[in-house]
Amino acid sequence: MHLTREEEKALEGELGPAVRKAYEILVALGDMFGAERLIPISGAHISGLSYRTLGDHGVHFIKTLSGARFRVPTTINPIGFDVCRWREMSISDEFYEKQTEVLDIFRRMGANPVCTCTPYHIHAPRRGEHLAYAESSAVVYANSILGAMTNREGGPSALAAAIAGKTPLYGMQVPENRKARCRVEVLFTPNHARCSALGLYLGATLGDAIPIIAFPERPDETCLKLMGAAMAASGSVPMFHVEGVTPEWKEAGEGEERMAVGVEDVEGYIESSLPPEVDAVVIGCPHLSPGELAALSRILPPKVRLPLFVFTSRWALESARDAVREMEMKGARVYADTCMVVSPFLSPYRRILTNSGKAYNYLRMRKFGGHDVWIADAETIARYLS
Amino acid sequence: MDCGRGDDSPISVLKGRGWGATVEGVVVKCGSPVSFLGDVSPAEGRVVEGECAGLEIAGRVFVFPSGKGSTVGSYSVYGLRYHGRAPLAMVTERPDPVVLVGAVMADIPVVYGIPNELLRDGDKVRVRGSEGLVEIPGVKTIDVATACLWDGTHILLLRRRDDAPSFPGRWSAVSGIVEEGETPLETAIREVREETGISLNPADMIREGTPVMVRERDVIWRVHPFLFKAAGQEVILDWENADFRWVSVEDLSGMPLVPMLLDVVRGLTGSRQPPSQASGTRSP
Repeated sequence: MHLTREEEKALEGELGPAVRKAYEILVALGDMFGAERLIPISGAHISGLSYRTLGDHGVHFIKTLSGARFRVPTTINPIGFDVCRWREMSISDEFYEKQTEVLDIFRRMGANPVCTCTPYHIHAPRRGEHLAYAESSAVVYANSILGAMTNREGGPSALAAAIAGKTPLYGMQVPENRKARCRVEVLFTPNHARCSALGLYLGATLGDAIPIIAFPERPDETCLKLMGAAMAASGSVPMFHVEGVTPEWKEAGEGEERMAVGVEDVEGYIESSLPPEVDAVVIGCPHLSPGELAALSRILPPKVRLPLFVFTSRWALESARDAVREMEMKGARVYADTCMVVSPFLSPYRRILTNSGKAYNYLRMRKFGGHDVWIADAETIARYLS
Repeated sequence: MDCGRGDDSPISVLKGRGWGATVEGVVVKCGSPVSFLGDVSPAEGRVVEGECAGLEIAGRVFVFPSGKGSTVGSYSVYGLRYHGRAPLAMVTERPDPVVLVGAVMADIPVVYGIPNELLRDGDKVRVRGSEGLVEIPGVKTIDVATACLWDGTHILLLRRRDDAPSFPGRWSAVSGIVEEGETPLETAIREVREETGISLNPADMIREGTPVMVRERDVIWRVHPFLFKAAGQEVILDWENADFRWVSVEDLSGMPLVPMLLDVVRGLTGSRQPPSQASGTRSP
């Protein structure tokens, strides 16, 4: 890799040990991926915030970097609880203290304190902006729906990028690598449950091959958000194109491979009938936008007959106060800051109903609780809760 | 008969890419990908889940095919350092960003791109992280040229004698050790003349393959494969080989072959399907 004089100095420690370690990480990755050089980024999003996944050693590492300040606007992933309502969520005092310590460090380093997997709702990156996003659902959304440019970073590499304000030039940072390898023809018009299921199916089938997808009718943004998140969870796709819809679709080409997806291919993820009872209903993986909160509150019955947990960012919560209040009055609990997958509070709820393919993918895994999970779209869920 | 080049202290140098300092230590191997988040206990410095459960990696040169799983695994690698149970170095076959980033975080030298089969449990090695080198003192690398004579559908195989010093009784293409002052191509042409009586010149070479390395006890055979066009010339065997046969690529896999020959032949003749990037029902 060619490094500038400034970058060499940083690598030699002239800007301190934290900046040096950040550059070491970025340059090692750049070498691995054949990057010619580092490029500046305009934003970073860091994953791996939960104390449960970091452990004391993870916190220790972050502390070794805490002398540095983030050079670019930096957001952080959700954690295991709502910072205001954590006592409702089976969180011990000790866990709360340790987690808060992590958040305080990131805040001191300059991160936006809102913990969310949907930073793009708060501040939408523009087309062509170079970013370093960890959190696969945000990567896919930013690349595909906004036309920004980010690789699927890991937590530590996004952290390093935020400190350096740079990322190595490879992968999704390079326009030629963003072309489609496979054209996918979807033979049905999906509701949101099928959008989730379609994402799970495509992720598992495509591996890391970027698709260009043709739908019979234009899908809405929530569909693409759910599909993208599920695709990112079940596979390693960094982005997708949708004919006639996403910003780069015209330049994407069609790739060499062809695939058709019928309803029968995705129905395997969706039970044809729901059980009479589940233990909890969860909506908001990824976090709901203010518009999605409003839409959900409108369709819910006056009183929900089962525990309903809704997840969003604190920013969206405050932007959609009326909708949130209405949902809480109907018996829902609307939590901010929380990742339902890493949070311990869902563990007593064995049977879960959701509209999220990503949640379906993770909550069924033994390490995230081994729950039984069903997928249905929000309208079906609303009727089910009546 | 060649008695070797008389090196006092043989050493093999395996070249990949890497990061970090230079260390010397003893190899422990795991044959399957390791998830640092799920499979390794940072506090114990040991693999605790999966096929290599029980393997102690603290203070060792840990050799494994690649990492797998979450990028949070990089924090687990750091955790090994935090608990004072870090491996001395890590050597992987495939490049893996989770392992690489963890190694940089934890200041553990790491080298990737090293075929794991060239290293054995218990090997004493020197790992030069930033140069991407793994050195094995005491193991000699011997260059061998292998000539595949190809008439478009069949390849000429020779059966090694049952008392041959290596791979006795197996079928191979025409091979010989590269001698001092020779290029591998010259070796290939000479060996073909010596072992089969067929005279080739460099213009008969269709293709040169990438070298393939195989470990056998304290020797690494570095095989330089060549594809030559042949046209049914008469074969006159010398004393080194017991038999010869023209074999189609499909029939090769049914015969007892020297290691790697199948891969070498397929690579040279283009009959291997490149591995697909993704599984699933995609139409070609």
